[in-house]
Amino acid sequence: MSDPANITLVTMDGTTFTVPSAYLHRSKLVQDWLRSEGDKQAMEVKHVTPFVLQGVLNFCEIHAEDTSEPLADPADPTKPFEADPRDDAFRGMPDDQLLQFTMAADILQIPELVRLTAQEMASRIDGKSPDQIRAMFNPDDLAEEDVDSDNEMGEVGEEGAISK
Amino acid sequence: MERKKQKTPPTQQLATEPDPPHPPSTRLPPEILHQIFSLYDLLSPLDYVDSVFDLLAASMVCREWYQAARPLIPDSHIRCPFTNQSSAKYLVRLRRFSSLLSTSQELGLPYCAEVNTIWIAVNAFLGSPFADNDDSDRSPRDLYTAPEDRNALFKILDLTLPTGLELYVGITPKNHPPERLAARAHFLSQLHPYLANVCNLSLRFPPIKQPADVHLSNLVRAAQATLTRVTLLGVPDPLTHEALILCTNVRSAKIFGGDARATGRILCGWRGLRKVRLTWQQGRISDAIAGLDAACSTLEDVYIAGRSLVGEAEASEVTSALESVVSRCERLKYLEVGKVLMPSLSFSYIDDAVLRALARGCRDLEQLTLTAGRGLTGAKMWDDVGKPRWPKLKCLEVENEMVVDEFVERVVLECEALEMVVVKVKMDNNSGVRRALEMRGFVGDGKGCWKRPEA
Repeated sequence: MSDPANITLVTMDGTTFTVPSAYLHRSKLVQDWLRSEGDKQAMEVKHVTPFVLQGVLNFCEIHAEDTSEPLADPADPTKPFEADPRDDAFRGMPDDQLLQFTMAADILQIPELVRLTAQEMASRIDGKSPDQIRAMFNPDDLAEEDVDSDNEMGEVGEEGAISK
Repeated sequence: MERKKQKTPPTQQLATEPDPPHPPSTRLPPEILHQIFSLYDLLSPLDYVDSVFDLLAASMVCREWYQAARPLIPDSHIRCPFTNQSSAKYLVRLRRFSSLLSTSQELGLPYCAEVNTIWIAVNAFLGSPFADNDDSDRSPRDLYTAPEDRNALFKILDLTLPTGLELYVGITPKNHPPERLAARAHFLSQLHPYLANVCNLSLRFPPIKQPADVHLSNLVRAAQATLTRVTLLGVPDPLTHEALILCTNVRSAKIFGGDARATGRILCGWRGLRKVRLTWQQGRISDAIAGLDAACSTLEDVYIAGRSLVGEAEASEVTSALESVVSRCERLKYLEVGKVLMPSLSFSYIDDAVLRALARGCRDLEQLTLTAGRGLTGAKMWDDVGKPRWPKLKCLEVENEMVVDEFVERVVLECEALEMVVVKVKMDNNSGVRRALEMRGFVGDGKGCWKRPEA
């Protein structure tokens, strides 16, 4: 890697982002990559769009100088979630973007962002019907092979069709 | 941050550019779904119902969401989704639950079949709140109800056909306006058909005596053939009281509060009773105990929690009634009677006469707890009775310091099934009880609790 102080990330469509490596010190994926393949030119983040990666990097930039201990487990019940006003932009984003950010946080393994987006998703599901949740997050229907290999819901209903 | 192709300066606000035309897959991995669903608080006494319903809704979104959400919903919260709802949220929750069950049925999910008990606040379905200046007649469950609320409840009942109903009966003041009384009668008559499935009925009455309630008593009569478990709180009205007596298939009963004599009369009708818990009966507790006489041949588990007995006369009355019942309870496995608190503060109604009756007739006894009480020593017990014949006794707790060593020693030596002994008696190295315990292989914890390692 030519510049160890910076890291270049490449999104699914080839867009590149070069940011200070320090921004991503909470990303386990990036830290692992730096340790094992840091001599390469750029790290590919194939399943993340430029727009979403930019948002993730914004989050990382905002929190780059946080002194709190990195969160080992986003589900750690001993560390209650506290809303941070700096993250308001994430809380106000549309549902489909929130879903994309949740997935990106998981791909990049940033526990703090996983926790933030999971918390926001949970609060949006509050009080909603299954149809409303589907409309909000539009989870993909399963691929055929998944249906074939998974009998659990098939046992539940004769038609085994839960996804709409 | 440097970005090529589409340059956007670093910003702390998210950009508003559109997503690409074909965004990547939006299938959240199971661990993230688990992370999201784990955030619902199922421990909150006030709001856990909403969390359960959120998880239910999530589980109906798609197969993957079902697999992540369903394991997080305790089965008990599906079996009995409402208990003692005391807020205006009750009706909102009813409507939501009704809708969720309808959806689950459309999807072929088994939630409707899993629900077995529905909690119903009767006075919540009388149209409008009871408007009267007498605040004593008000209840937090007297809510304004719309037809949709009632429809939601009956939809739930239709979809689930519950085997358990918990009815919060509420006060029926004489000065209810006629339309409210008519609404109550109509509502109870609508419930009538559902009682034919009910084997587990819980009735929560007001703590004060109510006028005869023909509609409620008819409801109980509708369940007469199927009722096997009953829970009563408060004071039943006279007609419902009579209807309860006729529920002769009751096998398990919990009765909290109420009048001891009325309880005794109800128990007289329940001749097949196996398990009974009586708590805080008003009046003479011996009247309630006497009611168990009818079920002597079937009783297995008796728990009666009351107050300490005051004076010889009352103690004699209670222990005499208890002895009479126990002496004919051949199937009795468990008996705890008295002021049941932590051991050092408890007061047992068991005296030597009752203990003798247990020793003579109750060969199925599995647990014996002897806390402080009047006239309980166990002295010369085995001279009178012969030897302990409790082949199934697993646990002996002796918190009463007046109980003699000899009684405990013989039980330890001769009850083969004994797994645990808790003794308060002072034991030095020469104590017969200690020797007996060690001989049988019990190991003490130094605080009076002895267990057999293999147990």
